[in-house]
Amino acid sequence: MTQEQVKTQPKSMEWKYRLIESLAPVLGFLFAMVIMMITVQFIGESPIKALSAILTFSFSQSGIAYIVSQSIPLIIAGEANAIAFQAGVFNIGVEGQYLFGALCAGVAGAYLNLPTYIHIPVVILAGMLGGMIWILIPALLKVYKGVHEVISTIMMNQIASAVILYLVDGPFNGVRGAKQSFNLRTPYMKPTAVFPSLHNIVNSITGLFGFKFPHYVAVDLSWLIALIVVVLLWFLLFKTSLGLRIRWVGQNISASVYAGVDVKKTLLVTMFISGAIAGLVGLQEVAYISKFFTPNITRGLGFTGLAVALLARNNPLGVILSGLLFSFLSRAGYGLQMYTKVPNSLIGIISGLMILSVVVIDQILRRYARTLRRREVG
Amino acid sequence: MFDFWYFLLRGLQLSAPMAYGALGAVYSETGGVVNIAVEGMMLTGTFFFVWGATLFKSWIAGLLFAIAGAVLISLIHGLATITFKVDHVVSGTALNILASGLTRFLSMQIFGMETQSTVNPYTPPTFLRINVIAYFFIPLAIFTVWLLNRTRFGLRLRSCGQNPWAADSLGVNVYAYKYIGVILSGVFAGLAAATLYPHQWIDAMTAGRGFLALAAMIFGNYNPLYAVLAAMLFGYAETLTYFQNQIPLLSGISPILIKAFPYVVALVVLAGFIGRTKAPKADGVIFEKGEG
Repeated sequence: MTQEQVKTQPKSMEWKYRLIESLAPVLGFLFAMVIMMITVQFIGESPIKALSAILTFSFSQSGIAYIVSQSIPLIIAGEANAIAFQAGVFNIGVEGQYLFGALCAGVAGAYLNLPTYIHIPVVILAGMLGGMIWILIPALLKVYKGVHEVISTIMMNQIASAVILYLVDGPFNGVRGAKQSFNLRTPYMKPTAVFPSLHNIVNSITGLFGFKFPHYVAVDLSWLIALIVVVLLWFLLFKTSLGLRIRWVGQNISASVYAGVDVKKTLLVTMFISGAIAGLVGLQEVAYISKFFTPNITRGLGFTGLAVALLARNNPLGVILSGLLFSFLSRAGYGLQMYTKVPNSLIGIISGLMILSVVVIDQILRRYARTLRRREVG
Repeated sequence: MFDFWYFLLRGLQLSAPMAYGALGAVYSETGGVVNIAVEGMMLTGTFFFVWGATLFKSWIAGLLFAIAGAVLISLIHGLATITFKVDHVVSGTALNILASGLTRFLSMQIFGMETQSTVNPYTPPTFLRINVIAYFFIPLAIFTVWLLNRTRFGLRLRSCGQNPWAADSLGVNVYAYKYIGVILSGVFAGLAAATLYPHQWIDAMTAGRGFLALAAMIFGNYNPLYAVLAAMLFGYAETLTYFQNQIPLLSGISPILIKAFPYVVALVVLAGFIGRTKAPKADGVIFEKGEG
């Protein structure tokens, strides 16, 4: 440590290299935006009009409120991916895990009779348990059989789609006669299980800055859950020995074996934590907005969560910002769709492109900073 | 009555997308580039097939378009992983997201609908009721075995996946060979797309078959012929679900649940056999000339 300091102290330029290295997300975002505007121009729409559509639609009072509220599931999905990435695990199965977790939560809310202060925690735990069940097989296969989790979790995603449809069509069908219809859903959750609204508390804080969340925007217990997940994950990763082991395994498996880390156990624990967090992704929709589980629940949050985590470089605090950014992008997509000729799906292209450009620019900047460092040493 | 011959042929057709996808993945990973993007390449290919075929009123144009579209995605993957040295799985994941957005975007621009194209009447000819392109994956697998094991090209490609530094020191242009491997995976993903459902493009129609192709490649131990046989296992598992009512053992299972059958089969075989497979030594390793 001291040796390190002695080495780096005279190099006052170190902060500059760090800054260069950390610019990648910003530059990647800007690059993706430029490509987006070129595409907009290409399909015969004015980029200025597109930009103003995005800005007016996103930064009105309800626009901001929606962006914040809809970032909650993205942040949770981002954290589920981030913790796995930290251990070098690609949990592409967040998608299936949150579908199954949301079903478990919906069922626990609809079929149990409990006082509210027990029922709500039971619903939350049911979601986490569902997510953990759905990562169990990939976790065991990875640790004991060496099956790459990308393959096994994708299989589990496909199986989840079939299983939730089967279960809601069969044993947990809440609508008689609604066989495989668009209305297929579980019974309504008991009032004791429904998440409380946090409008009053949140508005009393944001009101100090002159901002109120409208009543039609979801401000609920899932906000608190997301906050707790972020803080706990940050604490776990950077303040505990388990977190250190997780990051070691993610950075260099063979070195962490020499350092005496039980790699198998660390991987198992990480994947279960990731699955448990993934199980929380659908709770805002199930336990607050619709109050039942349906196979038509918002899909694709797991894959967006992957992008959220990558953009935040798997930092639990950074996930908040990138979750907000992706929520903004999705809002921007609707703005474009509504006010211009640009279809919503452009945002899908831009999301993929943004991840790519961030990681590519990251590589370029790291190289550049390394060259500068070497030059300074030489 | 259970029509055995039809079952056999139908299975061949349903195996073809995964078999071609797996063959392409074998080329890419033999050269040391992990290719999670097979799914996205196949999806792009399916759209480009319908686009090209309806544009030029010819299924051959469709096939060329499908290959071109898939190769386009594979080139981005090559650029990101080989030239810019990005993590292979990250690039593949990003490309899968991109392909999903790209196909929906193009469909909106070209067909005016975001989740499906118009019906394409210019499909490949059929022989014995199935797509002719589906008959070629076994010969191509045998050809690939020969190419990888008996030719100078194959030896060099394998050396890039096993030990790129050694290959480099012997004068092999490692970057070029890796690019060729990745581009070939795009070509095969295009063939996979042409056999999936050339009649129409539907949003997310590949439904994980690109990943099943990767599972087949792993299950087949990175050997082209075994990978194709593994793909046929998944393909015939899917075929069984279409003949569900005629098979006593399966007729009791819910028709909703049975959709998951091929994926369950894939998981079971991966769980049971994976211990024996061996990926190329430098598969997924970032190669940099002059280092290592």
